[in-house]
Amino acid sequence: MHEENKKIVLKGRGLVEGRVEGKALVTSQPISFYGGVDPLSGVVTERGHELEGKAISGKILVFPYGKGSTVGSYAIYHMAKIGTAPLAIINLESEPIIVAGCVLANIPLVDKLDKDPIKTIETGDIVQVNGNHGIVVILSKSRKHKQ
Amino acid sequence: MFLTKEEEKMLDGEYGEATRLAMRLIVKVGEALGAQKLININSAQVSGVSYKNIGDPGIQLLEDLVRLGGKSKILSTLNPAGMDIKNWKKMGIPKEFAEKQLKIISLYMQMDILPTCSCIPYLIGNSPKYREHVAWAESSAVTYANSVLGARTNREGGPLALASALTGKTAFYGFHMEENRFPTHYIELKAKLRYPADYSILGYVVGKKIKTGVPLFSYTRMPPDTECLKALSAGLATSGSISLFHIENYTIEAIIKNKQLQDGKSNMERIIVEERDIKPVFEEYKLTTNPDLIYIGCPHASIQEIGKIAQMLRNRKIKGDIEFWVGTAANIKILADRAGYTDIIEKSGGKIITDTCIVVSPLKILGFQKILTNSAKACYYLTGLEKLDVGIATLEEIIKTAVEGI
Repeated sequence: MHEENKKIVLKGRGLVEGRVEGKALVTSQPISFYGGVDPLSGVVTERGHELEGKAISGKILVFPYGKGSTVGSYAIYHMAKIGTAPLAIINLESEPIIVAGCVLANIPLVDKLDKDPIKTIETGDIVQVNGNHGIVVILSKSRKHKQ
Repeated sequence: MFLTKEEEKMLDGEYGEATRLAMRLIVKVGEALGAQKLININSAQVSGVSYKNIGDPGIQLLEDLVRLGGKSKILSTLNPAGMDIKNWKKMGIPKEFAEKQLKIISLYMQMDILPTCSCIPYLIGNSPKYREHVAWAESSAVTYANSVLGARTNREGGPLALASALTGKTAFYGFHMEENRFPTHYIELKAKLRYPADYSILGYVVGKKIKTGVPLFSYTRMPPDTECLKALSAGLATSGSISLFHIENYTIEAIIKNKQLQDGKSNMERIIVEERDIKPVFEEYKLTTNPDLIYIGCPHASIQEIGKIAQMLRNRKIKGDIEFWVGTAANIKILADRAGYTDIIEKSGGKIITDTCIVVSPLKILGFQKILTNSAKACYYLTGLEKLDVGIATLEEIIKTAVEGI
């Protein structure tokens, strides 16, 4: 694994407070937390989704926005209670399903960043999320990421 | 976001933990959507009731809110559940499902939310008036409230409508603001529309075409009655994200703003809907053999519809291999019982079921495969989500099928 030590800082909107650090999991496709993710295992189950078969638990999950039923908010809450939820969420622009889920579950949420997070952050990067101030820092890049 | 002193107290937890959490939910989502302030609302219609939809995650949240002391501050009513609350055994609902479902209803009741379990709150006592702000979930009811009643609501999701019930507040954005209620599309109606099924499909077709926006329908000489407006609302909200429509010289805001509408008409995108846009949908969803379930009541049937069904079924027998359900609200059924409608329908071999509908009940567990209905909404969800075989027809055709078969 080749790593660089240059920090990249993205600034945006902090929607739900909290500071965490973890490994990023990035997709350019919207996610449905109702029907698209198995809450018990934290694995994406939507057929044909870029993240199909991957676990989102404990990850800094980067995706454009939520989709599907508003029941998705309950699912995010449930996942947080049983320990399968993502550590933080970064969106291009959050919509009510994701915001409500993150508020209920106390998951830091940041959106509207000054650099496109889906292009700037790669799966496997170590990322720091500050939901209080809407700041995302890429601590180390993982160019050849392993799944 | 600007908050009043009172709202800040709610957010700081001075009125308890449940109020704090609900307030936080409304403020955060409001901020995400760019709202500048909150407004007071007079009623909430809360979705997220069927155990089939919210499952154990939903129960957990409701239990937590009850434990934290959550109580509704306003008139709050509930969306349909996954079964008839009283007669779930007759429906064939498994005991495990029933226990979870009853628990959900009981948790909502502990928060002072009325167990109406219906998608037509506006016909059973939760009926906001012109310019009244409310926070409703249930997309068909949202569209009806905005368009027919002239009330103001966004299309809330389950947790948000509940948060509004617990606080009496919602964020001021979207359809609460006058400027977002002006039509974007002019729909010229050239199709002959008579029955709720026609309007259901009209809604479905227009929703599919324009996806989002506010359609203004041209005036028709036979304007839609309550049942047709209810069907149109459901259709529009199903295929698109439409939550408000107007009908020229007919719905309240179109009457009040008639001059502005006529002046602005040339700037609206024009769409013509003809017979050939409606008919093919009936053809596309046509059954070739008998259905195993006929369902009327998506949205829930009004007392007038039930009366009509009873009139058509009087002294006739529904085929033995066809289950026939009319779905409605519990208090409408009481009236149907009194009026003698229930008796007639039951003697023909049909049932009136309450508190639920086929979109949110566990149909697969019940073993139904082939369904006939007069609702484009039911058809969309059952073919899409449940992969069932569904036909659409008018009530008149459905009764004929029920009695004579296909």
